[in-house]
Amino acid sequence: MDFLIVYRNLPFIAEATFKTLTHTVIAFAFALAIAFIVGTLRSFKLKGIPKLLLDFYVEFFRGSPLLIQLFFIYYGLPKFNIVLDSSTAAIIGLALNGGAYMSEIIRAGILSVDKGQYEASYTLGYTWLQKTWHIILPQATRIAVPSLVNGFSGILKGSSLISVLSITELTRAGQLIYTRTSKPFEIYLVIALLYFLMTYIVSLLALNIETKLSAKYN
Amino acid sequence: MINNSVENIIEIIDIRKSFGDLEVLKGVSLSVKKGEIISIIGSSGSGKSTLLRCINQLEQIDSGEILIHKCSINKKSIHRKEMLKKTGMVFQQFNLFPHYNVLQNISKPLMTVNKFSKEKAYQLALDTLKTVKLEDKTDNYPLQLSGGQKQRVAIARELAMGCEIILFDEPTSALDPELAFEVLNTIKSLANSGRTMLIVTHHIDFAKEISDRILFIDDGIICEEGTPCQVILNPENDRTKQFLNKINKLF
Repeated sequence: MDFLIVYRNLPFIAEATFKTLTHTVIAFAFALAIAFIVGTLRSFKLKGIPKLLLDFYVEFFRGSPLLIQLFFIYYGLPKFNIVLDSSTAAIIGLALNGGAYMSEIIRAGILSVDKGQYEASYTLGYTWLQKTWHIILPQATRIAVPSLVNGFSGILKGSSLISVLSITELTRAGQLIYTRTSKPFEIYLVIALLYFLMTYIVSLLALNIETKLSAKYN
Repeated sequence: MINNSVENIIEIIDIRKSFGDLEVLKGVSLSVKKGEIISIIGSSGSGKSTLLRCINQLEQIDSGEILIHKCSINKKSIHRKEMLKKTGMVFQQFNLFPHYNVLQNISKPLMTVNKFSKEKAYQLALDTLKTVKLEDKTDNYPLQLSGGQKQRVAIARELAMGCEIILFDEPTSALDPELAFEVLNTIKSLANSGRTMLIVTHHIDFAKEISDRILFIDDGIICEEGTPCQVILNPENDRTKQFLNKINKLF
C-alpha cells in the first residue's frame, strides 16, 4: 500500500475532478433543457414527422452505447465539416445521451399528473402553454426530482467515458498516474471513492430538495 | 321566479354524444335563462355529467349545437374562448391545484388568465374566500383541508373568475353527509347572486329547495322537466316515478 502516490498527485487529481464536475454540470444543464422540451412534447399527442424525429432521438440515444455516440460526434461529424473540440463534443454527447433518458422521466412525470388538473385548468381558461407551464410541469417536476438526480449521477459516471476524447478528467488522470507509477490499486480506489463521494453528495442534496418540495403538500 | 322576458343564456339544440358504440346523449335540447338555477337528477350513467361536460367543451358533441349568449361554441366559432370564460365548473373531485396554497389557487388563475395584478388578484381572492367563509385558511395547501373545505375553495375559484354560468358536476358526491351539507349551504348562499347554475346532484331535497327548474335525465334524454313541485311531487313520467321511489326508499 502506497497512498503517498495519491498524496503527491493531489493537485493533479483535484484539477481532474474539477474537469469532471464542470463537464458534468454543463452537460446536465443542457440535458435538463432537452429533457423538459422533448419530454413535454412527447407527452402530448404529436403526429407525423415531429413525432418520428423525437421518437427516433430518444430511442436511438438510449439504444446505443454512449462511447459510440462520443466517437461518432468527435470523429464522425468532421466528415460533414462539423469539427468540434474535444470538450464541446464531450458535452454534446453527454447532454444528448442524458437528455434522452431524462426526457422519459419528465414524460412519465407529466403522465402521472391527474386528469382533473388538465380539466380544471382548461375550464379556468388556461391556454396550452399556461397550463403546461403553471400547472402540469411544476407537479411533474416534483415527481421527477429523485429520478432527475439519478440522471445527474448517470451523467457524472458516464463522463468517465469522455477520457477517450483525451480530456484529462478524473478517469484519464487515474490512467496517467497509473502508467507513471504502476500503482493501480491505490489510484483506482481513490478515483472510485471520489466518484462515489460526488454522487453521494448530490443524492443528499436531492433528498433535501425533495423534502422541501413535499413539505407544503403534507 | 324567472321572468320570461329574460334572455336565454344557454341554448342547447338537439345535441348527441357517443363514446365509441355507447350513445350517452341521444338528442338533448334545453334553454336556460340568465340567473336560472337548474338541478339535473337521474341515475348514474344516464348522461347528466356528460351534458355538463359538453356545455363546458370538456367533451366535443357529435351533432347539434350549443349556444352561449347566442354565440355558438363549436370548434370553428371565433367566440368560443370568450364564451367559455363565462362558464366555470365545480368538479366532484375538486381538482384544486396541489402545488398552490388556498389563496394562490384562486389568485393565480386570475393573474394568469385574467391578467390581474398580484395585489388585485390577492384582494379579490381574499374577498371571495370570505364569502365561502374560509378566510382563515389562506396559507393552507389543499392536502391540509377537509373535502368540504376543498370544494368551497373550488367554488370560490370559479366565483372569483367572474363566471356567469357555474356548472356543478356532483359537487358533494365525494363527501360524507356532514361535509356535503356545508358545501350545499355554500351553493345555496349563491342562489341570489344572479349567476346561472346547473347542478348535477343526488340530493333531492336540496334540488327541490334551490332550483327554479329540475330536469330528470334518463338514458340520454330529458325525460321530464318542470318546477320542483311538478317533478319531485307530481312526476308524470313512469321512469321519474320509479327513480324517485328508489331514492325515497334509500333516504
